[in-house]
Amino acid sequence: MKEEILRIPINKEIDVLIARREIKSEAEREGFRWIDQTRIATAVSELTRNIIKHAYRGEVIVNKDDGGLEIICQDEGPGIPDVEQALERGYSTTNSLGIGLIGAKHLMDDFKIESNDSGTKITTYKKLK
Amino acid sequence: MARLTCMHLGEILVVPIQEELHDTAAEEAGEKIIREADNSNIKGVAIDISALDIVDSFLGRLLQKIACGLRAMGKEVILVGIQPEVAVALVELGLYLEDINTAFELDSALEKLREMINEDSK
Repeated sequence: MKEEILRIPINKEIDVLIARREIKSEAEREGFRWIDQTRIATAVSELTRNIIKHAYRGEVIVNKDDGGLEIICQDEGPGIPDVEQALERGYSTTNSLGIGLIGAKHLMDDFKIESNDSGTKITTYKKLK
Repeated sequence: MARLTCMHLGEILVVPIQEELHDTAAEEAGEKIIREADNSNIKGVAIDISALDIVDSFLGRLLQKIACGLRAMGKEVILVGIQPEVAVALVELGLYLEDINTAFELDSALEKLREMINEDSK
C-alpha cells in the first residue's frame, strides 16, 4: 500500500535545501542506510534545482510503501524538449539540466521522466535494503 | 549573504564552510574566497567542507571552479574533509574532483599545503 508522507512546494532556491533536508530525515526514519540517505538527498537536490532553474515552480512528493520511498518531482514548466538527449552524458557535461538528471538517475534505483510542453514529472524510487 | 569566516594562518587562508548554502549563497561565498585570497601574503587556501553532508553537482562543480580560479592566481588549494557518503555520491554524479588536492583533515591539509608552497618557492 502506498501512502503519501511529504509534499513540499519548490518555488525558490532555499526550497531545494528544505526539501533535501526533510527528505533525508524521512529516509533516516524509514531505516535507510546512511549512504542511501545521502544518495536520496543528493538526487532530490539535483531534481528540485532543475525545477527552480527551468520551471520556476513545482513540488516534490514523497510516497512510502513496504519496499522503499517513491519521490516525485513535478512542475508546470515548459517541459524537456528531448529527454533522450538530456540524458546523454556527453550532452550533460555542458548542460546543468542533463547533469542533474543523469546524476539523480545514478543515485536512485528507478527513474522515469514524463515531459511535455505543459510540464515535467520525474518519478524515482529507492529500495529499502 | 551567508556568513563565511576566513582565517589567516600565516601564508594560508583557511575557509570552513560551516552551513549548507543555496546556489546564490554558494556563488557569493566563492567570490568572497577569491577576493580574500587576492593578497600577496596568501600562498595557499584550505577549504574545509567537513560540515557538509550533502554536496550536489552544482556545489561540486563550483568548488572545482573556485580551485581552478585560485590556482590561476598562483595560490595552492586543498579541499579538506569530504565526508565518505559525500565522496560516494560525488563519484556517482560523475564528479571525480581529479584535479583538486584533497586531505582527510585540517592538520594534514595544512602540512600538505606548506609542502606545496615550499616547493613553489624553490
